[in-house]
Amino acid sequence: MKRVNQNYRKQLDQFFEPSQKLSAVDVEPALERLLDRQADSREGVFEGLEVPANSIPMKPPVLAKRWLWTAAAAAGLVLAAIWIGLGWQARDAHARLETADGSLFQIADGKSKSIRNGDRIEAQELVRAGSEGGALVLADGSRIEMRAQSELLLERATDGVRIRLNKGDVIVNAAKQHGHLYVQTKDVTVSVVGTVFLVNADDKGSRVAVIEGEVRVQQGTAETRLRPGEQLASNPKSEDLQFFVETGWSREAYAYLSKLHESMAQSLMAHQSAGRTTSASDKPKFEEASIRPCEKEIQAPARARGGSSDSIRISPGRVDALCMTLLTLIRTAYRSLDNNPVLGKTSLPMNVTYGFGAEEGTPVRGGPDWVRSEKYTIAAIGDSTDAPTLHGPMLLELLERRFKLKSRVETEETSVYALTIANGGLKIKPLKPERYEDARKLFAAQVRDIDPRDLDALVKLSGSLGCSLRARNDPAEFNRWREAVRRGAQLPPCGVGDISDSGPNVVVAFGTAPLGRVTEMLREAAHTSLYDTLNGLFVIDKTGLPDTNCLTAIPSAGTLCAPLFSFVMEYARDESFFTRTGLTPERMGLDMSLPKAPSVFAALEKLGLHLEKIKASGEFIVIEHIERPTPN
Amino acid sequence: MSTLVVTGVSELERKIVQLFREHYPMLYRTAYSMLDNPADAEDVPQTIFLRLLRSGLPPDLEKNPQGYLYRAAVNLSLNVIRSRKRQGIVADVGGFEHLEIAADSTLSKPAEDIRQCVAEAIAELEPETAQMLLLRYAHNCSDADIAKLLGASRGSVAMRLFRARVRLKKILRNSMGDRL
Repeated sequence: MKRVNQNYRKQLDQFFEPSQKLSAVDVEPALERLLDRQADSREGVFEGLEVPANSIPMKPPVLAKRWLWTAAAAAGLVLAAIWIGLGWQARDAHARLETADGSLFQIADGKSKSIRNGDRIEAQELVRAGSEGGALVLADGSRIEMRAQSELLLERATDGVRIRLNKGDVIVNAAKQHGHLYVQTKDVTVSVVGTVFLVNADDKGSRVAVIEGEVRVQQGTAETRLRPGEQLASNPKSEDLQFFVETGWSREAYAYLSKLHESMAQSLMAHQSAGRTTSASDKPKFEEASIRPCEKEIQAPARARGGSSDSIRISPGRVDALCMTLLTLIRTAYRSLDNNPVLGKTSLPMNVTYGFGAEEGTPVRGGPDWVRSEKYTIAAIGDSTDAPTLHGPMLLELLERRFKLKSRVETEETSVYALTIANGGLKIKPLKPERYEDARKLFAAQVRDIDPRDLDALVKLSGSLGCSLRARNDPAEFNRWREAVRRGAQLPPCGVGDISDSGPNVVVAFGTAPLGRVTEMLREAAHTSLYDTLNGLFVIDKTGLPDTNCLTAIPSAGTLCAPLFSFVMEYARDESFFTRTGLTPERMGLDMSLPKAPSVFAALEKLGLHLEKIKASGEFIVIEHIERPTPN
Repeated sequence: MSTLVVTGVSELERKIVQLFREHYPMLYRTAYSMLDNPADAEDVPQTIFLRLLRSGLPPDLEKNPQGYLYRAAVNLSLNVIRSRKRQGIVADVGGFEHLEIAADSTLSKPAEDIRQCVAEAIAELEPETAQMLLLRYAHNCSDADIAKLLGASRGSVAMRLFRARVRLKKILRNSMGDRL
């Protein structure tokens, strides 16, 4: 007993020793971080953790109060904007700091001073972004987003305001103003009205790219007009800007990319309606393509699955492939294969950065080893607004032309599982077609970071659609939310869906999702939680429902959109899951005493769906010949 | 060290800034003693003060700011410990869900395991008792200081600390077994 007492005291002393040895605590930097977080309307890291009501009288945050606070701040900004706007009449060149992720500095007399949100920046004051960047708003409402390590100053111009970009990158969202806004680098001047564009300046020269509207670029005596998707480099040796990569640093990256693609689609449609489309007999192909070996792997932006290596983005008239192997590119181009064991017939969505992840490669056979290891980045521009054409025949033609690819499709009989509508019909009701636009609006807001000002309206909208916005940041909050969905106390998540483990079961919750997502879920489960039940077989959709996911694609006229459903289903996981994966219920934090749910077959029947094994012919691709690409 | 000059703020913000300057070191030390991580130790007071900036100052805080803030810091730290214990698994928020084992798994770290046992044992105590225990061991406060800070009697503090030590020993014996 004496030993136990001694050890107990020792453990207790050791536990508190680090805090007793703690040197003086620095308050001011912590206070600065607090005020920064407050100014950005950010919540505390541990905000989602419950504080027991019986211990302190501190209530959880009240949304309404928070918005009063935000509204007060917004009102302050509006007043500031009005005040600033009055100054604009005299073409007063100044700005205020809108947001900074950590570091924006004014440089004066060789000294640097941190700028806080709302601070005014006068003409001729040098502004430098630190490691994070930030955004400035000019007197007329134009917004300038600065990339980390960029440097600029504002100047009065005879008919407006000039931003002198010394180095780095800015994305300018120019207001529709009476005067002009200029961005000047050491070798070009860009002039605009009501436009969104990107300017980069470095030692080698400057590059300008347009996202929306039109800009005029003056280089020496030459003037060039640029439209959405077009770009200009002052140094011919400069590499093209890739919108995909170059806007990734921006807080508004997704919004800018969407804007770009909308603008490009509009100009392309105008181009096509002018009768300049290729004739029907022509094989569709890209007009221009840049193919470069991928030098280093690319990381995805925070919280995004796409945007890293092995990603592709299809947009009207354009395909951007990021660091993809030939194997992935070939199977992407061949996506209309029957019973392709990986992705089936699903078309890639338009305007979504689609991450493939690790490539299994089962649909493609043959070819040298490098097609499985070497990666390439491709930017291709062509005259089509049809996603399946762009990433199908046009991409295949590009691979055949530049990689000298020769391939064929072979067929063999195989077993698959088919998802069909059960004899009694579907027991879940689709969202009314007139609400589709609302669902799309909600999905688009979710893909980007939701603007806190829109949150209340989006929460109401989600409820009316039969789905909920899910907790994203705090794992504890997220788990509570999941449990509420499982119990039916919370609606399933809007758009993306959620698959989680609950004791011996798997919970699938989809809100406003097409049934194609169920097929995708089953395909994945066939290799994980239901490996024994489904024998690892491919699952195909035989429901006969339209399969175009109009939440993620801009449908062309006459397209039948996949109906959207909201539901929660729970099925029993295969018991062999743990022995196959080496995971244990303890490590996964699963309470295995919970009652076991029905089988996946019974769970699907409850929804009015039926899953059965059938024979089908499966296609796969054989590479006959391929070479490394010809130079650009 | 330069001092941040706060200008153009409301009366509430000014009060909160003052409270932050006065009490941050104690709150940081409290959180650090329980969470053993500088980042988490800073995030505890930050979370508390961000809430105050949003919701205003409750009457209890105005009566006894130090006691209120200290209780808030202990309780939030206890919740962080409980939350850490629960978080064996985190989920990807992307389109498809993938289960990942949390990176802070302590299964193969004996020293950290014992530390975590102590932290979790403290988290199992009643919040008021944990508050007293921390004041005694992390801040070296006397019974009288603790009583004053938490608005309790000296006798009550002494009794609760005695019971806390007994209870803690029991919890630790159960969770650590032969290692104690």
